[in-house]
Amino acid sequence: MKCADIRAILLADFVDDELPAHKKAPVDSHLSACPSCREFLSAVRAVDAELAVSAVPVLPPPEVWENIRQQIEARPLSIGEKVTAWWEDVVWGSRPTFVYGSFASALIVLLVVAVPLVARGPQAGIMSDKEVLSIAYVDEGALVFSLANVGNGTSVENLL
Amino acid sequence: MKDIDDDVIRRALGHDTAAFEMIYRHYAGMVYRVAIRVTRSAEDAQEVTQQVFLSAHRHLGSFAGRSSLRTWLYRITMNCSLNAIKGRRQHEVPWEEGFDPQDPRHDQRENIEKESRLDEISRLLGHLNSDQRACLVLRAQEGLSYEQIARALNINLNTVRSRLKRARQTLISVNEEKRGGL
Repeated sequence: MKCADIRAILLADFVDDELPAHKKAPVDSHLSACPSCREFLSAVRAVDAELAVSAVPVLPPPEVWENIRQQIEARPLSIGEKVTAWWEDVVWGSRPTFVYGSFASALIVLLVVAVPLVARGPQAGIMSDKEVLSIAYVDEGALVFSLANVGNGTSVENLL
Repeated sequence: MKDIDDDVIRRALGHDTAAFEMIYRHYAGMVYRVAIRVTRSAEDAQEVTQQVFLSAHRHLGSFAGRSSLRTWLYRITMNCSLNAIKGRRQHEVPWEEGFDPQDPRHDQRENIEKESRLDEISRLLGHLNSDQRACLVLRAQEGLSYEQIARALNINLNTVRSRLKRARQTLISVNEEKRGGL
């Protein structure tokens, strides 16, 4: 390779360690034989060294956060953001474990009861005692869930 | 710099201001530092920092962990910084001009200029166009890989390469001129 080709590589991939090993070997070999390209490599590295000074951390002044906070608190949420916020609150909010348990149980029981009923169609007839009891569990689960929401000062309606 | 915990991002998505403040505290230095070096103006960098975090707050839902939060913020920072430069071009005030010691921003500026080398870096970067400057800041100062730079600036890898080559070549010439002038 000619010096011009080598220098083009030195200016970017070589100094940035982005060169694969099989392409690096010929460059290394050229460098060991060419003092002029070695000098050029030193000049490239000197430029980076000048820029890479990570002195005292520079932070924005405190009023920048204050402005941001005021603006985000004043901005009305879009419907999409409200739904996301509600969902994040439901899934990751700080509710006691039993609330999640009740909610999950209610969903499972609902599926167990509702699927056979739907499958049997509109002439399903009178529910058995077992089915009535299952639906009561569903209602209880939903009630516990709603009460927990109210207890936290929120409700699904308010959140939406 | 490590990315912030996913749980903090999830809480911020739920419009928890305290969680968003944690994100701000974690990344504000990085955003401000890059903005200062690209725009070469403390005032613009403050404005950019504000825009970046307001935009991040509004669009956090669309980020959804597709890349690292850091890379995503670099991208917004670069867009805002380059926009700030474009907006300023018509009535440009160079870094050293227009400095009023009575300006209340003087203290902040003084803090920044305590790092005398920062000023030197700023002057050096002033020899590059904004695209080359953005690439070189992300590579030489922030240590991003070519792929991360490409994502942050929405350009392809070969463009990253060619901008870095031109930027370094320009600065080598500047240094040679300086040495020749001594």
